[in-house]
Amino acid sequence: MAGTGKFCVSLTCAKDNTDKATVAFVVANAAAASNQQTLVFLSIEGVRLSQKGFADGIHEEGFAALKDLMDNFVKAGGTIWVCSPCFKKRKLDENNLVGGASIVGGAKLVEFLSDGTPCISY
Amino acid sequence: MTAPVAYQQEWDAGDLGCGELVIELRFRLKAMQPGEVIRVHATDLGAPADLPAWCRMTKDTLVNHDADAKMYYIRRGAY
Repeated sequence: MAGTGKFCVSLTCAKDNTDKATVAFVVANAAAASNQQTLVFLSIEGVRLSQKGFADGIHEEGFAALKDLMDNFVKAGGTIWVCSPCFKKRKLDENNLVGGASIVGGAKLVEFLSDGTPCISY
Repeated sequence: MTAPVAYQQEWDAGDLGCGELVIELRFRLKAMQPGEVIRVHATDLGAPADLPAWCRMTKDTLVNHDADAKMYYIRRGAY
């Protein structure tokens, strides 16, 4: 069956669950490497990963360091969208976003998924 | 320079964003006639990405976006 050629990974965690945060980007990298137009949507605590330096030091046993996974994801053409109200609630810095990240609201996510694009959530 | 856009309604959405912004905008547009334009002032950081996407889905038209003023001119679709 033909897909949409797109893939979404929704991530709600950061340092509150580094295992999930890491595996989310591992899967996102698999999608990006498989020629899928891949989006990581950061919401809830996950938005903290949008800030430069926040992922430094997160290194789950058996996986690459989270910063390396994120860098490789963007290098492979992946996109990171950051939930606007989650970002605002945590008073994060819009001038300190990691590469490939932009702040969006729900309508952008809905549009991305509305053609039947699959989404996996962590 | 972009020509001024005529509008029949205006709404200062302030820092409303995400679902809160678009559901209120949905209600306001539905109360208007097809072809009418609303000028929306929205300061949320996600609005510049969100409102164009939202208009593509709803068949409303983003006539103009003044990024500096954070103003959006949206024409109600024929629905």
